[in-house]
Amino acid sequence: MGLVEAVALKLALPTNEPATLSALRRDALTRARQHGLPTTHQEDWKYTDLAVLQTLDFTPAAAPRAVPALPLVMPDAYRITFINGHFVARESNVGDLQIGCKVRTINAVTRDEPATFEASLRRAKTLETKVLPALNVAAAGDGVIIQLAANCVADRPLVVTFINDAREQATWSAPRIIVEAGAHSQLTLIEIHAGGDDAYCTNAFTYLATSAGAQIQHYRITADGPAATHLGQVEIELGRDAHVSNFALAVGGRLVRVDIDCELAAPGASVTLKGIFMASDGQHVDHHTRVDHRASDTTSDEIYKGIASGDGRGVFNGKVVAHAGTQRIAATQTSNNLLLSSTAEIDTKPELEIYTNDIRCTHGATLGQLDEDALFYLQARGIPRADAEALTTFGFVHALVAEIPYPEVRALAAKRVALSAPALAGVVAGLTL
Amino acid sequence: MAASSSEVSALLNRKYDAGFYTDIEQDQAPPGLNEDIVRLISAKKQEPEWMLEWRLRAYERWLRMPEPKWAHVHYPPIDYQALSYYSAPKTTANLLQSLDEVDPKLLETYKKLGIPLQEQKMLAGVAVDAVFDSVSVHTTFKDKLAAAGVIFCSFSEAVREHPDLVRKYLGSVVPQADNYYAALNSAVFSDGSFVYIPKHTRCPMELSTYFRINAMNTGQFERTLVIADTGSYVSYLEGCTAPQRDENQLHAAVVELIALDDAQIKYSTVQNWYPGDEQGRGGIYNFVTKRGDCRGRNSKISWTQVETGSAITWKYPSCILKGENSVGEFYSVAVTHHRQQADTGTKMIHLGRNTRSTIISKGISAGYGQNAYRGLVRIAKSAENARNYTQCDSLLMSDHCGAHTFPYIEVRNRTAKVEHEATASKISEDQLFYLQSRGIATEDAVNLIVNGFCKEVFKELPMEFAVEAQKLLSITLEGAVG
Repeated sequence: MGLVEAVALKLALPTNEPATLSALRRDALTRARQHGLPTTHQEDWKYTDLAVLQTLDFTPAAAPRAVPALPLVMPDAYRITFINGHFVARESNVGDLQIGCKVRTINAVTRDEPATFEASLRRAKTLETKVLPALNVAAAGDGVIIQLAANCVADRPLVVTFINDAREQATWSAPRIIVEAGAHSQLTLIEIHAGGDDAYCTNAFTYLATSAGAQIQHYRITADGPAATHLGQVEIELGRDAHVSNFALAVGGRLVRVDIDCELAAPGASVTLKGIFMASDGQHVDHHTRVDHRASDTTSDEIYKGIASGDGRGVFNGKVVAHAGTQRIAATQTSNNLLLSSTAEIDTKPELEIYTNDIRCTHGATLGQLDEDALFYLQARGIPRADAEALTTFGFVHALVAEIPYPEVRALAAKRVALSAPALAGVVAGLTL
Repeated sequence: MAASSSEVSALLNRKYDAGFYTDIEQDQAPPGLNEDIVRLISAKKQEPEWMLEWRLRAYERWLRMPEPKWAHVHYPPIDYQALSYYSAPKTTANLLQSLDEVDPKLLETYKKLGIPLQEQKMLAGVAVDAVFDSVSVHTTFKDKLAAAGVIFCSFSEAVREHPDLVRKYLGSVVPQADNYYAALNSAVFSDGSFVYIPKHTRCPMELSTYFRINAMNTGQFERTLVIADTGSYVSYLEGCTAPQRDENQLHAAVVELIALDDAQIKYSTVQNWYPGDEQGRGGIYNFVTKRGDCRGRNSKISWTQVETGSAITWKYPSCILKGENSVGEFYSVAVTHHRQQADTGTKMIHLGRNTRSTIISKGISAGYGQNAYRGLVRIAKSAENARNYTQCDSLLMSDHCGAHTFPYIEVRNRTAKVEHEATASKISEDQLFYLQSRGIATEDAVNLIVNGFCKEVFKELPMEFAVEAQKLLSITLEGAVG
C-alpha cells in the first residue's frame, strides 16, 4: 500500500474529532488524490523521484515501547518530544514557557478547541497548493501548537524532537508544528527529526506565522536514519517588520526533500535562510526554497552550502519572486557546493522572478572542488593530505555552523557534518567547536 | 551620435505606425497540416524521395508530441490547422517599382541603420528583379566561395546538389523529434541555407543571411545547416534586420552547427522581427531551435545574439561540447519592450575533457516586457576539468516589466568548476545624475548606460552588426524611460 492509500486508511478510522475537521481532512485527501504524488515530470520535482512512496508497504508507526536517546540534549531549553508520532510527556517540559504563551499538542487542541486548530490550518497556503502538506493534513498526526501572546519573549529556546523508533519496516508519520507569534513576540524554535535504521517515512509540516514585529529563529535539523525518507514543508508568513531566520541542516536520511516557502506579506518584513546539506553515499538531499516578496521594503538573504560525496546527490533550488507593485526589494541568494567524489552529483538552480524595477537582487552559485592552494598551504605546514582535505572541507561549511549561538546545537551540527563524509571523521573529532 | 539615434528612433517608430505592409499575391497552400501538405511542399521543392520520407517521419512524430507549455511566456493557443505551411510570392505586380517610390525618410532611416541597398529594397517591399537578387548577386560571391571550396547555397539546392552531405548531417544535431517545434520544422521546412567549409579552409568572407532573405519570404520554417570540417573557420551572420510584415506569425526555425576537429564557427544573430504594437497586437512568435555540436577536438562554437524583435522569443542556442578541449560561448542581449516576451538562454552540455564554456547574458526589460534567462550547464561524468562561467544581468526600466532568471546547473564530475552570477537592478540613479550633471540629456544618458551594459556582448559582434545592434537597441528602447 503506497503512502496515499496508507493515509486514506487512517482517515477512514473512526475518531472523535468534530465533523468540520474530518471534512477538512477528507478534502485534503481528495486534493492529494486528484493531483497524485509529484513526479519527475513536474518542474519542482525534476531531480527528485518519489517512487519509493508508492512501492513501500506503509503502516502507521506503533506507540513507542521505550524512549531512545534524544539526539539533542539542551539542559537549558524547553522541550517537547514525540516518538513514532506519539507525544511523550516525560520527555517534555515547557515550564515557564506557558507564561504568555500557549503550548499544546495538536491532539489536545483538536479535542479542546477544534475551531482554533482549524483556523490555523486554513491560513496555511501550502496545504491547499501542494500535495505532501495536504497529505499531512489528511493524516492528522500529532504535533505542537505554540501561540505567543503579543510582546511575549520566550526566555529559552524550545526544542521539538520527532523520533522514529518503530523498528518495523515502512512506518510513516505526519508530524507538525504550528507557531503563531503575536506582535513583537520572540521565540527560538529548534525542530529536530531523527530515527533508527528502518525505512520509515516522515511527512512533516511546519507553519510559522508572525504578526507585526515578531521574531522567530528556527533551526530545522534533519538527522534521520540511513534508510529514512524525510519530506518536510516549512511555511513562513511574515507580518510588518517581522523577522524570521531559518537554518536548515540536513545530515541524515536516504531521501530528503525539504521545501521552505516564505511570504513577505507586509512592509519591513525580512527573512534569512541558511542551509547546510550533506549528501553522502546513497543519499539524495533536495532543498527547495521560495521567497515571495509581496510587499515593498522587504528583504531576504539566503545562503546554502552543500557537500556531495560517495554517490550522493544534492539538489538546491532557490526561488525569489519580487511581485508587481512592490518597491525597494533587496534579495540576495548564494548557493555554494562542493563535490568530493567522481560519482556524486550536485544540481543547483538559483532562480529570480522579478516583476518590478526598484530592486536590488543578486544571486550566485559556485560548484567546485577543494582549493589546491589551500591544501598545499596546509601540507606545507606538515599536515597530511587527508587531514588537509578534511580540514578544508569542514572549513567550507564551518562559517555557517559557527554562527549558531547555542553550543549544543553547534556541536551537534559539527558532529553530524563530520560523520556524514568519511573523509571528515577523525580530524574533526579533535576540533574544539 | 546619441542625438542622431533619437532621430532614427523617431523615424522608425513612425514606420511601424504607418505600417508598410504590402498585399502580395501568394502562391499559397490551403491552411492546415496533413500528410498531403508535407508531400506538396516536398513536391514544390522537387525533393528526392529520401527527403520526403524524412519529412513524413518527422510529421508522424510531431503528431504524437504534446505542445510544450513550460516557458515563461503567455500566448493564446496556436491553431496549427489554421496556418498555411507553404506560401511563395506569385507576382510582383502590386509592389512598388523602384526605390524612388519609397518614402525618402524611410530610406534615410535604412541608410542610418546601415542596411545594404538590396536589403533596403526588400524591406520596403520594392519589386526587385528576382533574378538579379537571388541569382546574380548570389553568383558573384559564389565564384569567390567556390574558389575556396566553400559550399553556400539554399537548402533546397543543397538537397539536390549535395545530397550526401545533407543526408550525413541533417538532423544529427537537432533530431527530428527533438522538440515539438523542431519536429514541426522538420516536417514542413520551406528553405534555409546550407554551408560547408572544407578542411583547413578559412572562409574568405563572412557569410550572411542576406542571400537567404528572399527565399525566406516563402515561409516561416527555415532550416540552417553549417558544417565546418577539420581545421576550418567560418563566421556566419544572421540578420533579421527587418520588421516582417506578417502579423502574429509562427516562426519555427532550426539551426544546426557542426564543428569537426580544430574547426571554429561563429554564429551571430541580430533579430528584429516585428514585435507587435504597444498593446501587444501582432508580432512574430519566434520559437527557434539552435544547437551547435563541437564534435571534434579543439573545436569552438560561439553564439552571439541580439534579440530586439518578436512578440515572443523562445530559444536557446546551445553547444554540445563533445570534443576534447572544445569551447562553447554564448553572448546575448535580449530586449523586451511594450508587451514583448522573451524566454531565452543557452545550454552548455559538457561531455569531453577540458571543455570550457562562457555564458554572458544581458536582459533588458522595459514597458510591460517580460524577459527570462533560462540556461542549463551540465557537466557530465566524462567531462574532466570542465569549466563554466556564467553571468546574467538584468536591467529593469519600468515598474511593470519583468526580469527572470532560471539557471540550471547539473554537475556530475568533481573536477568541474562552475560559477554562476546574476544581478537584477534598475539604472542607477547615481549614474544618471552623474551624466546629467555633465549636460547629457536623460534619454542620451540612458542610451549610454544601456550600451555600456551590453558592451561585453556587442564587442563579440562583427563590426557592422555591432553598429546596427547599438542603433536597434536605442530604437527599441525609445521612450522606455519616463
